[in-house]
Amino acid sequence: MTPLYGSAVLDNSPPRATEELRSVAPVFHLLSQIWLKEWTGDLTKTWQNAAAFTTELLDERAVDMQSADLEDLATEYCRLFIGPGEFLPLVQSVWETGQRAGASTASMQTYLERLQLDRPISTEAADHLGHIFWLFARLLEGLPDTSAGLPVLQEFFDAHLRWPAELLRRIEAANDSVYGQASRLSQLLLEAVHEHIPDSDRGDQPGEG
Amino acid sequence: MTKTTRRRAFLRLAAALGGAIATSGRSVTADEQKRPPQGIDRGKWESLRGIPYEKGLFDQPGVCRLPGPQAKRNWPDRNKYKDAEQIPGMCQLCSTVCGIIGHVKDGRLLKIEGNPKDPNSRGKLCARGHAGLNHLYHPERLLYPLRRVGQRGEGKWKRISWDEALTEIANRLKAVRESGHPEEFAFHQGRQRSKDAIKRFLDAFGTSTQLSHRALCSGNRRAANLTALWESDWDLNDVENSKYILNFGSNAFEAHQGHVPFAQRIQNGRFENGAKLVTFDVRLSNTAGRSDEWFAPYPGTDGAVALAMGHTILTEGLHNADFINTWTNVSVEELTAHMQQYTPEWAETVSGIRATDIRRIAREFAAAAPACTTMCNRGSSAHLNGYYNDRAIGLLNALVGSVGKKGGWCWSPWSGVDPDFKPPKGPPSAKTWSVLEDPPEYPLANVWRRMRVGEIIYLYLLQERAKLQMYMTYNLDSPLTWPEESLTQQVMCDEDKIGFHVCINCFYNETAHYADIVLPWTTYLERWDLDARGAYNLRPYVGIRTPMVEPLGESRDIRDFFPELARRIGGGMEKAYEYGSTEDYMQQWAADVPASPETGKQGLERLLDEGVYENTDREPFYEPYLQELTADELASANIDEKTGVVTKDGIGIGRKLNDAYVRGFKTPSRRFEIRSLFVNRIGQNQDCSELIAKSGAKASNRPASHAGNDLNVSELPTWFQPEELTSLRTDELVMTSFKWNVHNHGRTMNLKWLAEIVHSNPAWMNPATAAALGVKDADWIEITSFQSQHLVRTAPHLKHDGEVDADTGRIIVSRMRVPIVTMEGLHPKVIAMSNSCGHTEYTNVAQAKAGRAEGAKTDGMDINGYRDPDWERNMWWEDTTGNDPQQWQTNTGNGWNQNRLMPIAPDAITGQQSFHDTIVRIRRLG
Repeated sequence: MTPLYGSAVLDNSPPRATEELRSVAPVFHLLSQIWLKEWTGDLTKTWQNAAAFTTELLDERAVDMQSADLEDLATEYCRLFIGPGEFLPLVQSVWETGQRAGASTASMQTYLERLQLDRPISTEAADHLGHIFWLFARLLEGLPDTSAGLPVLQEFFDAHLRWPAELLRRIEAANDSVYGQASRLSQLLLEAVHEHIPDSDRGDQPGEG
Repeated sequence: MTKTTRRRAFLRLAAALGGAIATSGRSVTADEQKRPPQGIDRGKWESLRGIPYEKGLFDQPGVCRLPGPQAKRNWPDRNKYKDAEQIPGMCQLCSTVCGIIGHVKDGRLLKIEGNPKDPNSRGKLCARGHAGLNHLYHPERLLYPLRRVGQRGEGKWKRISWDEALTEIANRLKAVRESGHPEEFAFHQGRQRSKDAIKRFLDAFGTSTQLSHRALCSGNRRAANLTALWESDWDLNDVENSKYILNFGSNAFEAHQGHVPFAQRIQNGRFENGAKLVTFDVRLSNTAGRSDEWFAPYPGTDGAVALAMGHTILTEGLHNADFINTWTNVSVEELTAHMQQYTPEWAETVSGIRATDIRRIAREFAAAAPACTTMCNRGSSAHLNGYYNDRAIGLLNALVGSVGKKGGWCWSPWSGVDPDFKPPKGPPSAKTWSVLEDPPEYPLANVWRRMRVGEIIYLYLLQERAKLQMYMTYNLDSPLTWPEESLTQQVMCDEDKIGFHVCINCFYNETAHYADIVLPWTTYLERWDLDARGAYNLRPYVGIRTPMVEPLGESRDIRDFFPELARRIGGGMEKAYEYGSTEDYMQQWAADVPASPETGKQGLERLLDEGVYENTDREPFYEPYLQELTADELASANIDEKTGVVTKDGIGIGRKLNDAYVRGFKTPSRRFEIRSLFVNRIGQNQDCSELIAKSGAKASNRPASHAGNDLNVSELPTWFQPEELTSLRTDELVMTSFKWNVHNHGRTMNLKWLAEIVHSNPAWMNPATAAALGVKDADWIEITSFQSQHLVRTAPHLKHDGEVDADTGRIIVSRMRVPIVTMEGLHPKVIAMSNSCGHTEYTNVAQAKAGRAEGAKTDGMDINGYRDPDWERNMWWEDTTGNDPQQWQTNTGNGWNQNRLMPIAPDAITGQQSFHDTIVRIRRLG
């Protein structure tokens, strides 16, 4: 496994919120992989292993992917996210401005440059939902054990994770299988994370639920 | 589930996923394997503080903020273009290829402007050009190769890698090559500006089956020009220096191949040189409306009017006898006798234009000579008699001696990039034959230039006169822009007729819908070309198209992937690509561009700096026929004492003029050929080798495959009227089509800035006609179109089945229900509909689908984050009534594909599609 952060000295008594946030990074990684490209055999294994917990969260049985046809899934991925037709581009700038390569793309590029990270798929937009989830997972993994980290998360959340509501709702409406469930899971996850992240507009403090 | 239990459930899910998820589930790419481990240490973390993103207001790079409720608070942004790099390029949103400047900041194109250094467009740019930003950053651009997974035309796809795509295409092309029928690989281009790259690939492969849309565009005008000149198919009217501009059916202010360069020169001619502009057009186009006088002739009678003007000029002694006798191949006497039949009174009976007006305009035109010129385009050309219309129009310039004169009817032998600059040498031309590329029935389609007869392609495939193993389409939207949409769709779906279809395009359009593999093409803002258009300065130039920004997604240009495809096909094809990279290729092509006196930059470096180069030391191409032959040219030359024609090694180089030897015209007679022996003989499949040699121009005899397809083409300008146009029933009209100033035919309705301006195309009808038919504005009618009776009789090879009209026995092409608008500016016997509309694919914008947000609610997420003011909230023209005549609101919807009504109707001589001769029946609905 790639080391997620380096030699930073961490606070020995991390706030609970920080600990919880860091803990959910694997879920963002899972969703990043689901959104970023077509379904794979490895993803099936991961999904199946986590099926019980997904079922619990969604309050419905997780789609059984054991016998899923990868070709069919690739076709569905194309229909939903690549087009042609009534597809749902997974790109933030499209949903914010109706154009590709917008301000959110530049913002994500700046994050990546400052963190000296290469996005997983160079031909996908930096502000692709999969890349945003991937980078957020990285940030969560590298979250310092002090409250100093939360403002950075807040800024990132404000910049790149407050937009996808409509997209995720439409995915859920367009697919009643695994992508619909992944969409629901994404919404729940973002809501859960939001509880720990102050809302800059209202000056909220991290919630304890 | 409470928030607490949910959070705990997530923690359990995360624990179950464990550490493996970071690397499992997604294959690690080769790129990733090479990278050092990446982590986020404290230093990096601290660097993240204060990244200045606020939705849509991120200050680098500036996004093209559109006027709208969300943008006004920050608009205009005076710092937006500060420090932006200015990168020259050339537009390709129509055929005019105006020079542009892209303002690029931090890798994003912010704005497109005209390049003031471009000698043709002079820094002007139309609305289409500015909308290039919509094109480049369109949310629905094709960005990945797609492979069909359902039935062809079903619209089911999956993404594949370029490697998979090229492997499959290469294997299939290799099989075609090995089958012994390389001609069964057809490359079918729409608007293309990479001629060299396409030719290299097809020549290396070994197929001549390169199909185009020229016959749907300009075949008749080109053939008429070639008949008289041989060396050029394109008249470049010197309107800026003219005193009188006589326009037959050209809408240069909105469309036209010379659009912006031409339109501005017309206006300069009018307002700075006092020129008068007179337009003959069945429709009050923007050009007609901005003319000094507008006349609406009966459709297809432009040639009759022109001949009658010629009659007037000759009979009233207004002609230039010296020019006619010296520089044409008929005498005044012969011509006068020939033109005797074409009186203004006769022309009035067929055109409806008063004889007095015909005479008056003829006199005015002649009085302005030699600074007078005709101009024409599809309005006169796209008819069953279009070739003769355009010959008759061109004749007027010869009669008054304005040919080649300053302010007159000019041309140049250079149709593209300055020939002083040559791309790296390619393989020898392929020599195959296909009925699709060279149909034997159309004698002038290919003898000078390979104009082809595009509109018959799908019909001939349907008739099984040819088949294709591999069909590669490129920037083409034939189901929308070709006649008989349903026939096109039928053939494109048929895997027996088209074995495999690869579509190369920037967007998923109606052609891609019938492909097997779709390849995402770079836009003209992301790729390389050297390019130029017919130069109105009458001397050649060269401009550059260069990647202003990195290509989005996985889009690639043919210059990038054709070499790779050739290497995979092998068999020697790879040898055509030994020039290095695309940039190396451009370096070689531009190597001889001289150093700039100001900057010292030369070659490609100069083009990248300035965008264009024009050798201003070269004299404009005025009166080229007077250029004296040099002593070198005359050495060992032969002079035919009878004709005065000078030949060298059997090839014509000039003619004797009094005591001098001059270049003359590049025709067999070395004169402007009013009488063409060639077209008559070639029409009858006679050997014309001697005439071709005397001209010294590029031309060829018709091949043996044309035997038996003889046609009597008149030596002299003449005119006829298809019989169906003389016998309209009371409920019948002649349909004409047109383009808007913000659209091209099939490639701009996806651009929202343009679609907002024009998105629909109700039929135009004269109020008197509407009243006679009992309809008024916004009423709906049913239009029924028919196959041409003239062609049923004269061109049986075009026969194909269809529904037979019970009333008349004619074969119905299609029916369409549309609303009407009434316009005084339309001939009463004409119904007009624009093209460009009625997309069934080509993005949601082109289909006027707004796709409204419904207000999803997720804690922490901001529904207002989804905000595309132009695409969504401001798409006020969406029609949700499904074209219900009872509920439809004016100016809504995405219109109708007018070409669905058009029959396949080639001019018998050149094969140009007769877009403007379609007889339609009108029936009131409701």
